[in-house]
Amino acid sequence: MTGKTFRPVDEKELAGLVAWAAADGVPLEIIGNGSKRGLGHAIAAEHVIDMSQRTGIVDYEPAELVLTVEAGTTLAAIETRLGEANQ
Amino acid sequence: MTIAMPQPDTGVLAARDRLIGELGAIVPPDNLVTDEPGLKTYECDGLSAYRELPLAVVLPETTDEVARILDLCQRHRVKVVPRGSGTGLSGGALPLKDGVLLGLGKFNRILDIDYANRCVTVQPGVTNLAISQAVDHRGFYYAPDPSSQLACSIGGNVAENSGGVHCLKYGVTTNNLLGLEIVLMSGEIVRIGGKYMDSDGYDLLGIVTGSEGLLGVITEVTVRILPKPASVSTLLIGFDDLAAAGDCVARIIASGIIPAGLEMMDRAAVHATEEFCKAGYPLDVEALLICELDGPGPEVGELTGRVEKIAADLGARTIRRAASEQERERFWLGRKSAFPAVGRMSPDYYCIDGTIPRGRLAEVLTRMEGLSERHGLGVVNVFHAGDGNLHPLIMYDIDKPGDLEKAEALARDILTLCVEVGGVLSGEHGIGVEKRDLMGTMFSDEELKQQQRVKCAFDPEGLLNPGKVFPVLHRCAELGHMHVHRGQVPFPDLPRF
Ligand SMILES: Cc1cc2nc3c(=O)[nH]c(=O)nc-3n(C[C@H](O)[C@H](O)[C@H](O)COP(=O)(O)OP(=O)(O)OC[C@H]3O[C@@H](n4cnc5c(N)ncnc54)[C@H](O)[C@@H]3O)c2cc1C
Repeated sequence: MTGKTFRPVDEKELAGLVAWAAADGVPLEIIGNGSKRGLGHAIAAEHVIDMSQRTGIVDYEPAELVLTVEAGTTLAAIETRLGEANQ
Repeated sequence: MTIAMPQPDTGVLAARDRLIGELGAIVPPDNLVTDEPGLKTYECDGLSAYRELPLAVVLPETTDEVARILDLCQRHRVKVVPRGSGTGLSGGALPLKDGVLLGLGKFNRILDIDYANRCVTVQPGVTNLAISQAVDHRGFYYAPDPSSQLACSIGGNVAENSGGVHCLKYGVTTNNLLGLEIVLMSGEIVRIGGKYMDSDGYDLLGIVTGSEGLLGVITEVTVRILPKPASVSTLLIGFDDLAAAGDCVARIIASGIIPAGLEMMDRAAVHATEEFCKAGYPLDVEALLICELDGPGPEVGELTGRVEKIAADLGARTIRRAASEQERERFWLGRKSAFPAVGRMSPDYYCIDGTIPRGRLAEVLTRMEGLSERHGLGVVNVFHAGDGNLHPLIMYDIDKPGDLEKAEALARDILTLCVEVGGVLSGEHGIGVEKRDLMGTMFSDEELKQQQRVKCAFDPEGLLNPGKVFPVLHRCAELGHMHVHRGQVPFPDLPRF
């Protein structure tokens, strides 16, 4: 496929992209690190939104048992951080 | 009654006799209640300040009967209110004058017990406790344990996503649910999930759990069962001030320990229950914690020691470890008698249910004292501290003019406070009619409309339990829901968007 890969830097840019695609009826594929992309049939989408750069822990309160992370954060990074608090 | 409900449909009221005749063709005579004394039994649920007589009560015992009743009601545009055991505390099963009350209490058989797959399948009217009792002899139990478990139905538990004392560690209903059969208002029977984890596609099980009877009638439930823990250790911990007790809860959790249950009672609750049942609680404390740890013996021993140390470091006045099963039961006796104990102190009480971040416990309880003084009604606090789920009990007297209104105003202020500190309107009792008009403090108009679009996908005519949960009822057409009839959209040739 000759489509583009977009890496939105914030929610606003992401919302703009989705709104544009929805308005024009353009299908999008959304990926993280694409680790399971080889499974199943290929997705018939024009462009790709790549969320893998959106990483990082936004908020972590061990006493609340609540963790908020960016969508592209790896499970390994999450587990390391939780491990520090025995969780 | 001080809550506005949807305007009754005069056409439906006028055609009552015909409807009763048609319902009578679906269920046996014993399962159709139409006389006034009979209807009165169903006039309210656990939120007894609000009452209404339904048009009729029908008590189906099979999925097929439920499907035929819903189909009939949809064809005649008659509203339907599902009801399990009627122990709900937010008015979710409050009848409608022009609506059929669908009582599921007789639809109550255990269908399948599968130890190999650790699950049980039951009809919706089976009580929560009956599930645990059915598997007890093999050393299993169903984990979510609402205090009402002797009476409440599993269908009601799913509809409210109920919790209980041990849900801190084992999760609430949604975490212990594997499959459902539901009947839509159209009479269509739908199965979601089953004896396996993580069913494919969208999380419909998650959508229906906690839907308060607005999306479909639950006619079959498959739940997970667990082996009973090998050992249990229970601590009673008393503090001189609320802040230290709140810190203790936060520190236990933050250190990586998840107790099976972690409950708190304030001074008023400790005194009320001690007088009621003599559980042996210390009376010189401002806050009392009950912390229960369960699991393999060595683990429980180690964790109990760590909790004792955390409590001691924070200056706990009392730290007692139950030395025997009898003593453990005595620790719980007071907590479990809290409602009747308050019931003896005050002619009426109103139990509310909000959830806050654990870190704000002390602040919220202190501000609540101020609100209680301002409204002139006493408040007793007994609650699931481990998950920040408050249950303030407001004491009032319904026979005293103006008292109920005062209790409602105080409840509104407390719930608004919960939302203000970053919490939510309900922990486990649901929104129902009780908190319906407060939904705007938590959700924007757009968010509420989006939630209502989900409702429209299940019940486009808005006949299932209307007047509950949503403060404003939009017609589905207004929300841009497109009705697809037998797979065809109207005017298929016109461009849509
Ligand atoms: C003393 C006391 C203690 C309580 N303690 C707890 C507690 O610890 N934790 C907790 O979470 N709750 C507690 N509750 C609240 C209540 O018991 C729960 O909400 C319970 O799940 C309600 O079950 P029910 O069968 O009585 O439902 P009902 O009150 O009959 O109905 C509740 C809601 O569910 C809907 N509904 C019921 N059955 C179905 C069905 N089959 N299909 C679709 N919709 C249905 C109704 O329309 C209504 O909206 C307590 C209540 C009391 C009175």
